[in-house]
Amino acid sequence: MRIPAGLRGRPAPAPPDLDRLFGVPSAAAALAAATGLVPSGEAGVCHRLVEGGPFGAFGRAQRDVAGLLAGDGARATGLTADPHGWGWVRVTRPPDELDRLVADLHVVCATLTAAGYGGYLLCSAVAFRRDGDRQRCVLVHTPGRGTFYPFAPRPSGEPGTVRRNNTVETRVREALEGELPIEPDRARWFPVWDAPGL
Amino acid sequence: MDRGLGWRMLATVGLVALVYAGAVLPAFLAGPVWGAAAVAAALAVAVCSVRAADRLALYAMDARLVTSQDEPELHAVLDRLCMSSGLPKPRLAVSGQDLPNAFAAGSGPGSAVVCVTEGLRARLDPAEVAAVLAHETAHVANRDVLVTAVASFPGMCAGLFLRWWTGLLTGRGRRGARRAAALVSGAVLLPLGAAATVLGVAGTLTGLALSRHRELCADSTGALLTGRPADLASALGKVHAGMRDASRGDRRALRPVSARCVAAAGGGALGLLSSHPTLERRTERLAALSFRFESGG
Repeated sequence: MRIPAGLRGRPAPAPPDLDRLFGVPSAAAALAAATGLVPSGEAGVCHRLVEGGPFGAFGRAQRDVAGLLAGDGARATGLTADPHGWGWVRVTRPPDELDRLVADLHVVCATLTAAGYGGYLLCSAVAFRRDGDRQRCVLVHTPGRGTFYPFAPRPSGEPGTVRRNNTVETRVREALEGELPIEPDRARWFPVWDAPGL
Repeated sequence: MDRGLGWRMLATVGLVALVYAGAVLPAFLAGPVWGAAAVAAALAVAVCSVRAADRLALYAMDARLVTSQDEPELHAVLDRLCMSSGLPKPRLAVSGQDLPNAFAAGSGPGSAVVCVTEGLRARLDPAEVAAVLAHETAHVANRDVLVTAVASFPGMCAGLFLRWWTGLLTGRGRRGARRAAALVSGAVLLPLGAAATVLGVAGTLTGLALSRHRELCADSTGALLTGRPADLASALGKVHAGMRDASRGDRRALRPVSARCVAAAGGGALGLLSSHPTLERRTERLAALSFRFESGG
């Protein structure tokens, strides 16, 4: 099936798998026990800024997302865009409301998917931090593959020379292996430098 | 929307298969063993040329592979394109040339290289660079390098044979008795020469037609992947303008890989001899995609 589709030059979009996001709160407890990383209350959904202008179909979907997130005073939201055409929907809640934070992410993803933009969701990210040192880590969920992976930059380092902390990422994977489907191919643990909470 | 394109693609693939059959069938006239040997030889040479093509292309373009420490921005864009397309990440190369262009090489998603020139980065906006990289990623996903190499191979072989054969006939570099002998053997090989001419013309034309179709496919695949056809359209406009203003020497430097570039210059008024569709045709299709995105269809 793959090769004929390739010969005809068509993409084969996979339907996004979003329900696994709800496994994050219970996994966070295991993560805190094993590595000391606790939720920082910041999270976000990265998606492609599909063209069409403010009055196009995608602009309508974005307004729907903003409207759904605006109702609750306990969270702060925002949208940031990068020059290459991707944007983050950022959500911040108190650190102890992880399950509601994850539900917010699910609302964002489900709204965009229902509007027909499921293929343009890049990833969802939930931020974790460790008390004591400045180590940050985000747990990234890629909807296309339905898997999770950790991304942890080194805490000390000048801007532009920052590298990833492979030790922390490996320990996070070991802590979460039974809890969440972890991306098996480590080459697909793509860095998300502009994720919320880093 | 893509259905017509898909059918034309299948028709072109059928034509390419015919060209291959035309190249191998004469050997079967000499016996089944020779026929099988000709098939095996054609396959072996095709595989070798595809395997070596990416290194050759990078060498010809004076390009170097870059790591994510060298080029964090390009790597970040490529990472995201691979995240949303599900492809393994291709290697990334940068060529020092001042012409704005980009190409993909390597036979399949596992061993692909994507190369951009310094001129492209200098002249295009970040969003347009992302659109061009998406177009090249689409080439990788569609295995276009392999498809075009396989399709253009019989035409290339026929061209080589024709050059050797016309050398025999004109007697270039030979004198006296040797020249007469060459002329006689050239006359004996006349049927083969005629066959090679037909094969060469047919092979080149079908190869170019296939390449034009693949470019249109990569345009729409890349634009659907990024959701921003207008970025690709404006990038193509800038690349075309840059190619038009470039000096002849600059363009010659690009010739070894010109069929693989995101946009090529010239190619005859008919359009039949061009490896890329015209800018108008491509922008028209991208504008249709833009309209679809705007209306949410």
